[in-house]
Amino acid sequence: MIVAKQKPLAEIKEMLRPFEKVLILGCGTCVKTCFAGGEDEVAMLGAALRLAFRQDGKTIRTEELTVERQCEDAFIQESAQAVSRNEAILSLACGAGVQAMARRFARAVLLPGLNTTFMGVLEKPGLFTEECAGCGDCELDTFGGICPVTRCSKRLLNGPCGGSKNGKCEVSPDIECAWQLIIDRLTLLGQSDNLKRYIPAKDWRPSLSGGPRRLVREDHVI
Amino acid sequence: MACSSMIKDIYLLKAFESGADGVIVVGCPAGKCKRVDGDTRAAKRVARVRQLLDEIGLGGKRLAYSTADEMETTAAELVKQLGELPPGR
Repeated sequence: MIVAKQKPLAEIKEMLRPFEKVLILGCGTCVKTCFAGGEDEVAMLGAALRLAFRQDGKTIRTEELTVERQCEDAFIQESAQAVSRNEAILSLACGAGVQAMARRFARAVLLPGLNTTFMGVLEKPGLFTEECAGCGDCELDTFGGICPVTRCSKRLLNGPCGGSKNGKCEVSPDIECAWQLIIDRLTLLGQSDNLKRYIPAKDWRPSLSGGPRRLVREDHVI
Repeated sequence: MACSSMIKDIYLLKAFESGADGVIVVGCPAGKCKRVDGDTRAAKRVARVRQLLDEIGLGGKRLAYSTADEMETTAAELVKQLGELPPGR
């Protein structure tokens, strides 16, 4: 899932200052799961903004709506009337959703209410961790399902740096040494021989470093 | 509410939006929550909304969490603090 965090209220408030009628548009998928942009968060932000502007003696009218996924046109269309009624849209979707809205509603002012951070998992209640950097060339089969591109602070592909201590990364004791995890897991799986494979320098062209990417499925193009 | 943890953040903000000067959330006595950790969840939620009230400019001091056995003391403290703050409206 995509993990995002709501922008500070002060920053959102300044973005909305020129407007009197705003649609706060949530997304019911990834950002709902990470408590950033679902229905509850839309309602909270609406109330917080009305209260915050009231302190300045200003009245802001907010309309609140959440669609299933802001990155898909079929769902975005449901917001068309609400978009037309408001001066600006504060999107609580990830960056993809905000841009999908901008693409669909070319004349609408789109404002991002979230900072999109990473692709990750819910490790335990309240804790989301980064797992995938979208490098475009997955080699998790070699590494026992643990990605050194994302989870090794140094992006090392051929073993640990030697700086870890008690299984923790030398960059921060809050970070587990990815290579310790990889070695432990490969050992558990009986795949320690994977460590003998030499992984050449990574070709970053399939990643964002190679420019914005596209995926075309001809069998689905009509 | 069957449990203080059923109080959603939005209920607290709505109370202030409706004109409340102060709000107290009351949970079970410490260690006696019938739902195991409902009181802990409620207290954390209140802490978060207090921070949000500071960001809004209303002041987090307007919101308090109390256990049932300490409610009288907490209420008295809150009323005293509210006397030093402007109205919530």
